[in-house]
Amino acid sequence: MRTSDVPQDDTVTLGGWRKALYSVDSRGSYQVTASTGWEAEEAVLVQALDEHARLAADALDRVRCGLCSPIEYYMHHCRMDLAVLASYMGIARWRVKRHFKASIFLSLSADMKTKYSDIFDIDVAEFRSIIDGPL
Amino acid sequence: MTQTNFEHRQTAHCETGSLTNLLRFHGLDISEAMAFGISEAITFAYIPFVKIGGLPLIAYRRPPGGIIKSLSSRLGIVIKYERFRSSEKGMKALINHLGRGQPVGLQTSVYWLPYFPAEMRFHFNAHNLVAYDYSIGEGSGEFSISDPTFETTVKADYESLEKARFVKGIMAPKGLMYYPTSIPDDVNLKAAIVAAISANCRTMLKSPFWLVGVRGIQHVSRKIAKFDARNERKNLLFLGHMVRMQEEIGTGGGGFRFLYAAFIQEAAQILSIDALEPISKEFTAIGDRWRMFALNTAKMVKGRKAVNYQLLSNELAEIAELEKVAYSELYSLITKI
Repeated sequence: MRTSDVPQDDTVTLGGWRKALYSVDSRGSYQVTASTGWEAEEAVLVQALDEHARLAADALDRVRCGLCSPIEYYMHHCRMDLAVLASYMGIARWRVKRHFKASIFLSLSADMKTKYSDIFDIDVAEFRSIIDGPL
Repeated sequence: MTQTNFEHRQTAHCETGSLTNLLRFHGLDISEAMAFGISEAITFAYIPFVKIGGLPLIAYRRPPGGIIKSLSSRLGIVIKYERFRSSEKGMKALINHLGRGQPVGLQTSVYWLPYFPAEMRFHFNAHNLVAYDYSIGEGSGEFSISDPTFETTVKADYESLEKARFVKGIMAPKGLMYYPTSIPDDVNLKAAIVAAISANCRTMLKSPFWLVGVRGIQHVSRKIAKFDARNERKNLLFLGHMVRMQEEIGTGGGGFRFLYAAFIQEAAQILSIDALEPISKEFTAIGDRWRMFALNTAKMVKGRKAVNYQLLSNELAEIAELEKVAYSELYSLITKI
């Protein structure tokens, strides 16, 4: 990549930062060039974020219908998957999966709920409010 | 509190960046590209049985931690690693070091670092940075941080940094803190370069494991050709994930291939071998091809180009061929020394 070809697409996802790329200058020497982002890179990042958002929205619908617990929604909302959440909780995946059930969630101990809410960086009360009503 | 004078330099990759910035503080100035090359960090690996968010692990560089280990052993640098059972002790030890004017490298989770743009925060637990100062301000205090993937130094509050250092799960940092305790007066760069290039070529060309190196690229190429058109969303997620690992996570562009080309260029000067120059150009061309693959994938993801698995598969097959030639030439050149 020549220095003149380093993309400067001002992508929103970089949040105003510039990242370092390696490019070849006119004399053929390598140098570090700051880039304001590349559209192609942003496209695949947005794709990954959209996928999390899609799974979260889907879970939220089911939470509101009483078909799953807020745990599943917040897991996707916080860009986690079952493996990541289970490892953060320090419990087996099947137990986390079990906590996705609305009925099981209601019977969870206060300690367990607090542990989840800490991981999601929310207040325990938010579990309740997300079940009840529109945000 | 004394102010530690720490020179921050932005780099493409976090591990090479933190390490070279730390080493420069201790008087050893080597470039990021040199650190990357000497630690034989370039690779390609497709590990389908390790899943991240349901997607297979795809790596363009060696696993986290390997760069520091390999570079320090090649150059005879002694690095002290400290891990902690309790986060309280880990934070105290960090503050003690900073109080003595001793910057330290830290392993952290990107997700909890407050200065990261929201869109970039993912559950990646092996992000490297250097903490170089601590000030007791409001609350529990604030850390001055040289995060090599950022243009300038940044700040992180106590609670966030604590969370980022003591996150659990895959590749949990366990508060990992590291710093050099001994650096030889004159490091033998030449010997390190030759040994690293030769070892790296062997991995890329002759790994017994068929998912690693050039054969790994060929494997993924064949996999993409066989994608079932009915699973388009899933297929595109796989391809997008691959491009993210290649470009987004601080690779310097082209899945670290430009960084490697820069290393070969520098090696040509240090070893006074002109024949390495054209090989550096070959790696630049290979990086450009990876960028083309990323661009085509992104267009398909955005729906600006018709999804064409065969096209992407062919691109990868050609890249594999180019890499095979480049590493073979490099290998025969370096083994003659």
